[in-house]
Amino acid sequence: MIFTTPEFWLFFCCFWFVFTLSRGTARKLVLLAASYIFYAAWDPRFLLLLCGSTVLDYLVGRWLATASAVSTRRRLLLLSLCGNLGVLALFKYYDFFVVSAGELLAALGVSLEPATLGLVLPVGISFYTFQTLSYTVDLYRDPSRKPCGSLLDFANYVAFFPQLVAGPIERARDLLPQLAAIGSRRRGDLSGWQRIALGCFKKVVIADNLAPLVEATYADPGSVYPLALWLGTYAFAVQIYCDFSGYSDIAIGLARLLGVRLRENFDAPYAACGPREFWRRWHISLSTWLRDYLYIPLGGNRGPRLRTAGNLMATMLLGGLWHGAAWSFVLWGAFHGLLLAIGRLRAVAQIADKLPILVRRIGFFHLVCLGWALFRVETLADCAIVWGKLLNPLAFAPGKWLSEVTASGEAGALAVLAGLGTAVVGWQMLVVRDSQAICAVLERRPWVVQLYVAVALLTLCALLAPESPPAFLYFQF
Amino acid sequence: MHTIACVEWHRELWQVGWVVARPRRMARRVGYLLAACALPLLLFSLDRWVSDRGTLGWERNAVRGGLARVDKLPEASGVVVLGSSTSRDWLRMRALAFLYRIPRDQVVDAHINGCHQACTWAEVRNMLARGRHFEYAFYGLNHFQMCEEPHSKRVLQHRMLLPREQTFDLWKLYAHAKMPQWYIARSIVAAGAQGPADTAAVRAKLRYYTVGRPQPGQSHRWSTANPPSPPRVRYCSYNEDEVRYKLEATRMLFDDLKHLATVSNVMILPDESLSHTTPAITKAWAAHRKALHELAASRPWIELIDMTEGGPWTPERFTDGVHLHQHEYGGQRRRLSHAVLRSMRRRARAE
Repeated sequence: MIFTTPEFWLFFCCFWFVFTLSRGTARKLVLLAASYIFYAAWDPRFLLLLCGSTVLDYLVGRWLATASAVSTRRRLLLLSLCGNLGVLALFKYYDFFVVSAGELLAALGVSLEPATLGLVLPVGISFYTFQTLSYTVDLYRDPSRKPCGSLLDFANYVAFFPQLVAGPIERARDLLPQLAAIGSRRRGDLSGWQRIALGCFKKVVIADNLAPLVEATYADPGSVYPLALWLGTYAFAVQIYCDFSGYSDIAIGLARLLGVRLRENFDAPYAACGPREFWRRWHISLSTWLRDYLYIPLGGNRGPRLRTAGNLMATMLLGGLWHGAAWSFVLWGAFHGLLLAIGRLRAVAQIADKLPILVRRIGFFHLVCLGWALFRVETLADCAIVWGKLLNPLAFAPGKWLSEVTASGEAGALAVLAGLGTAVVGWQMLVVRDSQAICAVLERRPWVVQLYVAVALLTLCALLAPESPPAFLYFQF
Repeated sequence: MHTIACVEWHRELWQVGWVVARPRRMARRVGYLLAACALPLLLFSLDRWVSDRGTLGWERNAVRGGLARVDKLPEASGVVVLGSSTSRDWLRMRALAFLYRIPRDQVVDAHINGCHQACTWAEVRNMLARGRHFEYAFYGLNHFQMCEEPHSKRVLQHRMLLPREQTFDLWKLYAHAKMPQWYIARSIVAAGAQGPADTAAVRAKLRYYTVGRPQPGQSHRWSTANPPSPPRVRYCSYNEDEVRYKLEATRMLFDDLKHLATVSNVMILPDESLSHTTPAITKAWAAHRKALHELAASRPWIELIDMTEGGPWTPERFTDGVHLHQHEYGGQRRRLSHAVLRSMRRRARAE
């Protein structure tokens, strides 16, 4: 069930009606049942994995509270890590590493048939695995912290359907108390509709309409004109932002309707002047997770510069691999790790500081776009082709390309899409505001204004949606 | 005393004001809400208006056209032609009248463009609800139609054709789909909007008037000099998940054909995928024939006619992979007539 389809809204309206009528434990049970139905709509078999992960971490949490010996606590943490990461590795990375090893051996002259499993990736597994892991690691690190006392509350924390399949990745200390009190809360926050409407607009009107443009340029990068490839890369930068932040907006809005506050996941990422700022604005829940549970335990920036650069690179490589089992994602992670390491050099910072802020933003946006090109390609061979074309201005031939655009009859459509994309990036660079700020401004207006804005946005979604909209990009991760 | 009386009086006045003001405020709020609803309603109306016109709303007009042809001959009870255009192309109304020795006005062309099994089933139910009965029914089924292909226009066809009181039967059919909720939700929205409710018509018109249309065959040129590769051959894989819904729809259609016609001739129609000898396609075709024979075996009113034997079915014989060129139909219609006559003789002998 995708948030922008009628079947989801039919499901949600039925659920919301029952949820509003119920109280106490019954309400929590209704929420859990809805979350499981929502997840089972993709594939009911994977519900077992979700339940398994829930029970494992709940029990480990309880045992951690009673265990005082360091060795016991360590073993319990190891149990949780092996259980969660083992399932993730099996479903997401096993085939990738087996095939890669087979290719490596083949290159060395050893021919082996890789024993792949061909498993389907359970939707949202990367998200809920990280969420449950954070709970156990927090309990391990801080013995004074109390574990969740109710399996029902914990199951709701793991399976909370607004953010189950694509985040934001919540921390137990933020979400669990809210879910524990959800039975007594009288009513949700209706301002959530505003956020939902904005999220739908971003996804349906902007991201989905840009998708065919991206698809056309990245289907066969070898034969694409370089300027068309730049256009496709810009379009992908806007598409992935609107797609993912649109999903997060809808998730945050849905949670608000249920009386739950989720953390913000985006804060105008294309307004960033450098890599550190970018990662403070892009997929905030993942970047803070990686910082707290990977970068800082590795040593963070406390060691010598080379060690810090190594920590950054390791964190970003794993962050890239988290997105998908492909070398292009690893390369994308390495690219951002390199940007972060270079960004820490004093000389680079001094040069950057001398430039006007808008120039820095535009410049860094182009670096991010080069990263998105790595993210979007399907094979490692395509990475070299795409970068070769994007970074060779001598091959651009703008005159020839413009005449081809005119001959194709697509000039009008391209101009409209380019305008849409420019408006999104321009807004972020000049106004530096994301959905939460826009909604905060609207919330200060009379309710009638809020209502009309929401209805207008949803009407635009109905009017401008493509015939067969693609699913959310981040569902595949 | 006077002060107290004054305060009491003010309090009463305030309460009266509040009581009077509250309905006013409520009415104003309701007014705002209604005005907010007007925007999507306007959009739905616009959608209906646009889709009622010209080629943009052809799906809805095709359904209306099929029903209108049935209504035009209220007394006809000889032959009815069901299914989509690929089914209709094999049959000529005059030839059918000649074949069965009945007047031309006893043959009803009830085909609807793009009408697959569930749509035909809904049309059969529609005709049954209006008390229609025929001696013979003809229905042609393509191989690619056996795989599920969710599209809001199909749900709209079901909604327009099926009598409203039989909606539950439709939902029972949807329960066999890969995503029943997808169909049911669209069915509800289409019932409420009485139109496609996905604004496809408006959007197509909007694109035409704002940014124009791509040049036919040239639209790739903005990105690459290489024209896109020709579309892959259309066929149904016959995986269990893919055919479950359509098999159920076919079963329901075959069951209801019993009430609509004494004998129903179901044609297995060829397409260009038959010229491909890859194992997957050969296996899928074998599964297709087997499934239809199994369905027909337990239903004596169904007469299965395999039209796939006049091969080879090379792509050149088709205009789009499923519709034959006009000059091809002469021979095919003769083959069909012979097959029908054979089945009539067989039935006569059996009786």
